[in-house]
Amino acid sequence: MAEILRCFISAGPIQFREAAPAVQCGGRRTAAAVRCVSRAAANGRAGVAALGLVAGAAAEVEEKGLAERLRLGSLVADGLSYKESFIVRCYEVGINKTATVETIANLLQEVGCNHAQSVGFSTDGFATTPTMRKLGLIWVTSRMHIEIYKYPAWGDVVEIETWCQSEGKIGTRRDWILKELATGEVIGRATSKWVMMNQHTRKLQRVSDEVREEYLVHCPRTPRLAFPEEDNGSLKKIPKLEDPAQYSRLGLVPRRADFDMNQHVNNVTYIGWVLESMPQEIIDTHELQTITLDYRRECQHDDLVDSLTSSEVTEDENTNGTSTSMLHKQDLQQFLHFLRLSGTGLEINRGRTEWRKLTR
Amino acid sequence: MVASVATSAFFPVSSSLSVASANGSKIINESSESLSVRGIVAKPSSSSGALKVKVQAQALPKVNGTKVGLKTEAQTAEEGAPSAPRTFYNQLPDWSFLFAAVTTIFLAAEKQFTLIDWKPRRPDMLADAFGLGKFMQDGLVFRQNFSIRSYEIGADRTASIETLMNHLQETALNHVKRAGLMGDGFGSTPEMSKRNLIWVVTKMQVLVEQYPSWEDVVEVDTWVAPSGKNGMRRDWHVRDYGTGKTVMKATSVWVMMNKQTRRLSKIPEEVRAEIGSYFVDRGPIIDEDDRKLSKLEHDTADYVRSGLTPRWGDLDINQHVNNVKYIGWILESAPTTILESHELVGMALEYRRECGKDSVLQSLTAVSSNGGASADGPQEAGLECQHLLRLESGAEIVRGRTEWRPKRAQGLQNMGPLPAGSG
Repeated sequence: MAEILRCFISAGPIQFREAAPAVQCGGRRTAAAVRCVSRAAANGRAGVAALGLVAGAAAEVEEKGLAERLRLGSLVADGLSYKESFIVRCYEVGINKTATVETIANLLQEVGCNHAQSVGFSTDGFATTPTMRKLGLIWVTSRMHIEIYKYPAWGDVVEIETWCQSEGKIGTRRDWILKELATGEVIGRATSKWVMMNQHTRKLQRVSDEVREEYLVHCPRTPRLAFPEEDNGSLKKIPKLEDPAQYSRLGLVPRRADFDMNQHVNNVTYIGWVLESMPQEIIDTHELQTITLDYRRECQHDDLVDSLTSSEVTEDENTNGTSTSMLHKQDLQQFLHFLRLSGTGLEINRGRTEWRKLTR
Repeated sequence: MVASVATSAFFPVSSSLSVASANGSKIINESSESLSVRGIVAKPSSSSGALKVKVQAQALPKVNGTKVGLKTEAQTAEEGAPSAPRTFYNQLPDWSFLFAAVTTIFLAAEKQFTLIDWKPRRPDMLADAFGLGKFMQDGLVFRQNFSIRSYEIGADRTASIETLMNHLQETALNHVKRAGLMGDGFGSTPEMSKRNLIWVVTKMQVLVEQYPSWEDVVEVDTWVAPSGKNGMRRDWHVRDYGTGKTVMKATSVWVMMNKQTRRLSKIPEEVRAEIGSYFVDRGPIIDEDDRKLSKLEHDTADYVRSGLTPRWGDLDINQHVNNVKYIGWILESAPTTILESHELVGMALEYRRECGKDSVLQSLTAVSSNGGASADGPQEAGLECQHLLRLESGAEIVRGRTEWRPKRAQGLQNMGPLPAGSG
């Protein structure tokens, strides 16, 4: 039984230093996880059980698969990726009448969780392999990269496909492709990088061969990339923005709803915080095309967060220092971001965003 | 009665908002916003019947992969639909366009293959599955299902009250849309839009019996009824789809307001003609609680949480804060001890004013116990809290009262991290 993909939810970022309360991966749903175990097929091809929609499923699967049927998600026939469709609800739509990037990120998280569950991973809600659990290891997100070409509107149905692969010696990667179900058009892509960490020592760990074997069976055999093109944005390094930042929003407060049950701030909340310091004139005239975030440290209950933003200069352009004069050749505006703990100034994450002009 | 109470609550006070960011950082949003009142129904206007057609088309794929109905209807809808702000592929870098083109080709093949696996059980379940909802009882009650997603779960592994309230909002809007009464997308009917009239929520009352968990499916029924001469009541009944047991009941009161003048309005005859046939002759699903909601002050409150600010993601298309967010802010000042030991079972809210991006809010809570202790002893008794959400400058946004009962499944509460070999 292989577990890779750990839900994106409270993927605590990597902590380089001091011990903090445990970075818990994704775990919220132990009760549901128990259901999941019984749902997994005995023959190990858990894909069969997960396809609750297939006629002839066992009665037990049928009863437990109600939510699955209604949620319309299942492993693709070869069992190496998972697809699910979602309808965009009215409260998930923002100021542009289209789904917010937080909604998209939430859906990516949801489908990641459901994938993990459908292959029988989340026995404890953490999507860890048995070996990992034995050794006290968990997955944490190190990078998240989302590109959205067309935001869905209220009532649109989005189909998301996700799969995972190993990434180098210490990590795994989870990729997503988003399509508009009606037309099949690709409306977005995303990729994320995960590393393994010992939850007690907070030290990063190489993915051992044992763990690798446990999950490889569920990965595509040949490399499959959401971003196959060379020199794509998901690989670009993100520099630390220079002091002083052009725009800032200081003293942001985590809300109760931002925390999962292990008292860790949900990854999607960080996206919201990063965008908080974006200037109104960009928000009013542009929509977010790309966001890349590197997670370094996480935020606790009593922390306050500072969000800093500056335009990113590209080599083609002159700048007089204001973002409005910054024009990429395709009319994209680029910004660098920095989130830090207000008290200590320690980095929480850094990011880059690209914005395209709205056509109204 | 209701309308008159609402009258006093509704006249907007333009207050000077301090656009505050802490510590003298550069102020980003300098426009001060004059506060105005809006209703919960005024939500994003992805408008019109054209969209409706498109969505229904999506819900009916053919099992054998033939997509006759699907494509054409979608295309018609596309032409008919007003353009929402979207980006066209010709504005993107070329590689992206190529990728999309290549993908589309593969998709056609793939879709054939994956659709074969998916055998819809019943046509109505399909419509429900995509969350479109349907009419019951001769078209007077609208029903929609929602499955609880992983990110909608709160700290105790059950759906948060905000999630449940979001579902109410979605159902209400879909009810209006499916009845063909969606005017400009604000939940206003066409005759209302012509007159610049909108519905504004003044009161909400909620009773929760049990909270659903991740992957549970809830079924939400909603209907409308008159409220006094010029108001409307909208009620909801939420049940667990699997067991049929009640999850929650809610009732809300709405008044009609001119969105320009902000004055309350009678229901014009033309509007009455549009909506009258939808009014159900039923009493409120929850007995009205007549107790006045008291106004808290800093010194009468037990807990205060300041510096609450809306984020971009909290705003709707008018850059007003979604009403459901207020509930989260109200609970910000509820003490953690109560949140850990009790669950919210009742809520009464009075909406007074709304806020926008630049608002800085303060949440106040005062705790009082219920009258009788339960048989299990005083710790097991219910609790009651009074709430106030207001701008830091003083203007009231929402007054509330919440009722709490001790959590039942105490065993689930202390579930920590990995069971195997963890500290």
